Amino acid sequence: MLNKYKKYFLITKNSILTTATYRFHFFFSIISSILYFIIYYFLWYSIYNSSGNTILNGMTFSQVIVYICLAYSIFILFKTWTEWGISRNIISGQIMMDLVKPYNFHQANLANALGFVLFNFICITIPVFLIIFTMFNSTIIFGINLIFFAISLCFAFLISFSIDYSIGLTSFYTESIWGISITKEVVIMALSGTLIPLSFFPDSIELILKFLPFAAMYHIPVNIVINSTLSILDYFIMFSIQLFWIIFLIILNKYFFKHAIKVVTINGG
Amino acid sequence: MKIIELEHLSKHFKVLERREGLKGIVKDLFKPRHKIVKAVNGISMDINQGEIVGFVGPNGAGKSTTIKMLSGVLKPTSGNLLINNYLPYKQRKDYVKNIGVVIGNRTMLWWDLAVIESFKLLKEIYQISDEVYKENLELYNKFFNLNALYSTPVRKLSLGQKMLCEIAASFLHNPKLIFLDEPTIGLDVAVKEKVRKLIISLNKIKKTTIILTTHDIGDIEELCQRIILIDHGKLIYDGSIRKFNQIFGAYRTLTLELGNIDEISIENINKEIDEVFKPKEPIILKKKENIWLTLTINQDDIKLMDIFNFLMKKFPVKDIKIEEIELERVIKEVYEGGLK
Ligand SMILES: Nc1ncnc2c1ncn2[C@@H]1O[C@H](COP(=O)(O)OP(=O)(O)OP(=O)(O)O)[C@@H](O)[C@H]1O
Ligand SMILES: [Mg+2]
Repeated sequence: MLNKYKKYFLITKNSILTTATYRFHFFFSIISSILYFIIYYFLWYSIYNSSGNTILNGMTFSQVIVYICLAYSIFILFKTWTEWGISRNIISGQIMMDLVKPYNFHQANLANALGFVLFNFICITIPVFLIIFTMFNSTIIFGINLIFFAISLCFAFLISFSIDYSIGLTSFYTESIWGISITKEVVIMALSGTLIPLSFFPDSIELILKFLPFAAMYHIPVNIVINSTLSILDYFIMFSIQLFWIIFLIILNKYFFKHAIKVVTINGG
Repeated sequence: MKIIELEHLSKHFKVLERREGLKGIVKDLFKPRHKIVKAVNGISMDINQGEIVGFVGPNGAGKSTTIKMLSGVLKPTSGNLLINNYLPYKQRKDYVKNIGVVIGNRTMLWWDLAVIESFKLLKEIYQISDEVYKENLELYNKFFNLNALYSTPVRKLSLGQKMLCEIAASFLHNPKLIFLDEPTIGLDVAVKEKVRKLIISLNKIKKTTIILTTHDIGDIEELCQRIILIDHGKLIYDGSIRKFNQIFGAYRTLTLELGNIDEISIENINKEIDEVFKPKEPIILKKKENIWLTLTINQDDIKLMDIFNFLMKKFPVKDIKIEEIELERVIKEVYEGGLK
């Protein structure tokens, strides 16, 4: 049983090794993330300053900063380029070599993405997180919720990966995914709480957003960390939402792949 | 024993026929025009276990498309395909365990990893046992000294080194069947020789069935016992290489540089050749590129040297090339009944 999964562990390991070959990449990722964050810090600073209130929509300034910082760290963490990898292989025809190997295409991609995430975690997310937190003197109280946070983060990764993977599969039809991937990025940024905490949306919209997969990726893990008043029921609801989307997307992708593989024309020859 | 059975296999592609100009682009957007490209058009054949079959045809004949269908990654438009008791397209995941695929400009290996890391990964993916894995690595090393390449990342290998590793990788799990799509493309003579030796010895040792496409007649002559010729998606010859050679092996193309010569004197030469040699098939001297003249001779009929001496006496021959018959010419011959 374990033997069957050994190939996927190796793919993950190799994906870490591969990522590590291009060392400059993470150096610039750290810098750009910090710049991004500085801009947002001052944006929120001026919003709070001009409103004259210390609490907006139930959040203090420092809570917003922690929220944005965490959400953004997760956002970088989940950048695995899965859809770009698939699309690149479709365009070049290299996809044929993926399809003649006796492994599950979905699981191989997942293992590959996992390698990216582990690498991102150590080399980008943690440094960015530490730098931002020391720069802006924020504090997080870590207790038992750290465990729940870790679990919800794993779930969030599966959702994020499933969305990327399904966009990757659209390249079986369209080859290039440039437009659709950019659109995805904007939609996620806007609706997941990465740019604006969900509580800043009007109540009815907030309620809808909370049930969408985008919030399940960012809002839920972040909320577990910042919100110290969560009840068991809250946890139950949040994990249920995440699990629902994971199962839904995995089933959807299974059928999507079955159809996509029928129409794909392998380029080159 | 039959390992591949192919019956009326076809693959048709629907392609957008683009119109010209800016107006055309707008029209294409709203009212696309499609045409059907019949890349493979009703091919039938049987292949036995252990055979090396050469799959040849001009550019765009449909060879790679056929290989893609045989590998189970492309769904045939119609026809039946049974390989090793699998329906490749329907049972892809199980079917591919027993095949190996090498494609000239693609890679089975991981671009950024050292060769040996890729091999280790393939070992897990194909669930290769430790003994078989070790045995194969020893074999590769004994014959081809591949050990020297193992620590190099794939992206830093030369084209020839990469091809050797690709072929080694494709045999790693002892597949029953290997597809090689232009394995010698872009290689120099020495490496081509090495690649051929690798293919031949692996076929001998492991009894692997090998289907290979190539534009290099040399590959065919050295590797294949059987040749399948296709053109425009249709099979036009399927038979032993011996028979093929008997007919086409005798043809030589002579290319000469005769300095400045006009059309009229070319015609005169042609007439003279006709009178002097009385060939069974007409031998026609033609202009090729500005200064080059070319003619094809059937050596069973007339000796190449005789023609050459004849021309030497009449013209100051500056340069010559002697080549084997070109594939295009072979196909023309087949159509005209040369093999029937
Ligand atoms: N994905 C595709 N969409 C549309 N037409 C295609 C596609 N793939 C191949 N074709 C067409 O099918 C025909 C056969 O192509 P194929 O690649 O099989 O040729 P080939 O025999 O491998 O040629 P070569 O020797 O040049 O490699 C060509 O006319 C090609 O344009
Ligand atoms: Mg080809």
